[in-house]
Amino acid sequence: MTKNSSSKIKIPSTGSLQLDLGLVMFFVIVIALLVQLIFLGEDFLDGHLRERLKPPGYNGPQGGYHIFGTDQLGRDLFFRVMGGLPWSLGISGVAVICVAVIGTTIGLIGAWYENWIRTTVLLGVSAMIAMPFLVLALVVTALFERGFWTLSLTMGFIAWTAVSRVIYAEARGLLTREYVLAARLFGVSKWSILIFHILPGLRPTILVMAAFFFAVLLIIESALSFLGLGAPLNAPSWGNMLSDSRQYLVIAPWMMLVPAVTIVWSVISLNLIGDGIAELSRKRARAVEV
Amino acid sequence: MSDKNLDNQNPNPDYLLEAQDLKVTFRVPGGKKLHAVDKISLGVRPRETVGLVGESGSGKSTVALTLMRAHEPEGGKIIFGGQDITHLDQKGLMPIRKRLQIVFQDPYSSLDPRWSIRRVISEPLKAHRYGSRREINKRVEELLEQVGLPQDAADRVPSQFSGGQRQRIAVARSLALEPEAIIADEPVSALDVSIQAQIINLLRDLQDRLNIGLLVIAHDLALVHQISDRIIVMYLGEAVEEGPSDDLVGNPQHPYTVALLSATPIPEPGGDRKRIVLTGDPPSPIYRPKGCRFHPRCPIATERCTIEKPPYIEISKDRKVACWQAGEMDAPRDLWALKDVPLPEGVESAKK
Repeated sequence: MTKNSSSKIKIPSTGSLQLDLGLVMFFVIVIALLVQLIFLGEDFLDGHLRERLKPPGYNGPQGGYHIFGTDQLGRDLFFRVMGGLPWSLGISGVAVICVAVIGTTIGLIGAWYENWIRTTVLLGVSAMIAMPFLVLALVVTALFERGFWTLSLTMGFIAWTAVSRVIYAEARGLLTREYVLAARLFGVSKWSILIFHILPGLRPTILVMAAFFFAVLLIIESALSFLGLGAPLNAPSWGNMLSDSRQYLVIAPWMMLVPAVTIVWSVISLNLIGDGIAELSRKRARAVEV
Repeated sequence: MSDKNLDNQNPNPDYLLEAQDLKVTFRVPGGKKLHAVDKISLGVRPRETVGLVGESGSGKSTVALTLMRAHEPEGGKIIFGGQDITHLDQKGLMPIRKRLQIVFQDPYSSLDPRWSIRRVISEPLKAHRYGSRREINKRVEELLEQVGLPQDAADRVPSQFSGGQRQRIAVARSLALEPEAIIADEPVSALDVSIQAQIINLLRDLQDRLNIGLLVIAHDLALVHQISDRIIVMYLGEAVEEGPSDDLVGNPQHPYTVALLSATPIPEPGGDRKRIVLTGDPPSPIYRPKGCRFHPRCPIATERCTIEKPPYIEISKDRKVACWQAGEMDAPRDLWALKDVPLPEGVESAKK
């Protein structure tokens, strides 16, 4: 895949087309995020009421050229969608780190101990899974002040259950490998075994799960914001934008399309990355077994 | 009949590694007990090779893992270098782990597929704080040479090696800390026949040079006979016969040993012998037969065998057998053929 015979330029590739595409799509998002953080000041989100609800491509005397049009307060939708990047990506990003860390830790604890600790962990996880996620998130976010950390930590502390289940199953498989037994019988400490044998073995699984959960959490964040329980009302998170667009759906459909397409773009890129990593690790596992 | 064991309860000063009346049971669903190992006694002297033979499910591997303290024995003692290690905790076991090593059956599973060979071999060295990185690297090079692998093997990963080469790597790893004894749990049964001889030669050669006590566990009596000084035959968790290698193979007393021997192929074209084919599977170690454990499959079982368990008694010097009908069954005629099984062509000895 690394060689492209027809052209002289070598296109770098990871070996998985899905992963390549996903990374390129995600790269666009990251560039936009950097541009927003570095070059755009505070006032780019300001609206100009005379230019409200203008369609994409409108060139206004005050606000200038609006490539994606404007919303009901005359705010430029392109800048607003960029302004939403730190909110939407940041919240689900922090949440996905929580999910990966908590899920892996709990899964490993359950897999490592063969006594009552395992039973407790499994029962606890099952109990958590039994609770409806969105309702739980609604309750917690309603209890606290709306904000970045409330939302991200709430999602992170609720969504790890599925990850811990997968890690548990995977780690139990790894723990039965003879090289783990060998290490133990050579006198290698259990921490060394966990860090140098088990965790590297879990790495592909953790990466795949993280990519998928990033996408899932992005949608959940939007859903919570849409329901009015996510990011603060004035924050330009994509869910808030969708929520705003509802009233103007008929006269300004671009208000809905712009954040919706952005969400779809991000989710697809993350899913492609997840699929790509899974594909690569399957290939590699085959190579290892042969 | 009282089942007085003839072993004294003090550590035998001759033995480097010794098991006394070792008993291992596992709990299975339904509150039953699985008797994996039932009162096995064995000993390995320094520089001696002992073979432990039995079919699948006879408890051989459990013996190996219990000796390594991976399973907790329900009864009996494990003695290493005169020290009772049966109940040592992990910290107390550390010096023992350095002196007693294991080689596993499957070199595809016993090496971490993500690790370089250098890292694999140096793992026990690092666990026991062998020395600086340079000293460790030097030791790895030495070990690779000892097991006949090229120096550039160190920076490759296990998937780039064949099964035989991987087993050499596993052997190198077990030699790393210069152990006094190695337990080899079915060291060749996952390998091709031609490679088996290479690994067996390697073990034999290394043992000669490095003065290691070796406990080889296998299901192939002919193979164990090639390498061992003494052989112990196991059936359903119990020892049924033991003796010096040539004597046991040339003059088997227990019908099970005879059956194992008759299952060995003859390395000559057209060669054939009267086969003693055991019918049925080995009985379940959860519901074991009464009397002699072997009687349901024994071709010469009598009434007595179904009721009374034969004691494990010494019949001559170093020979022990547990059978009411010991020696009653004819050994296959052409056993001489076993004495010197030629190596397959093209197999070179692992000598330097």
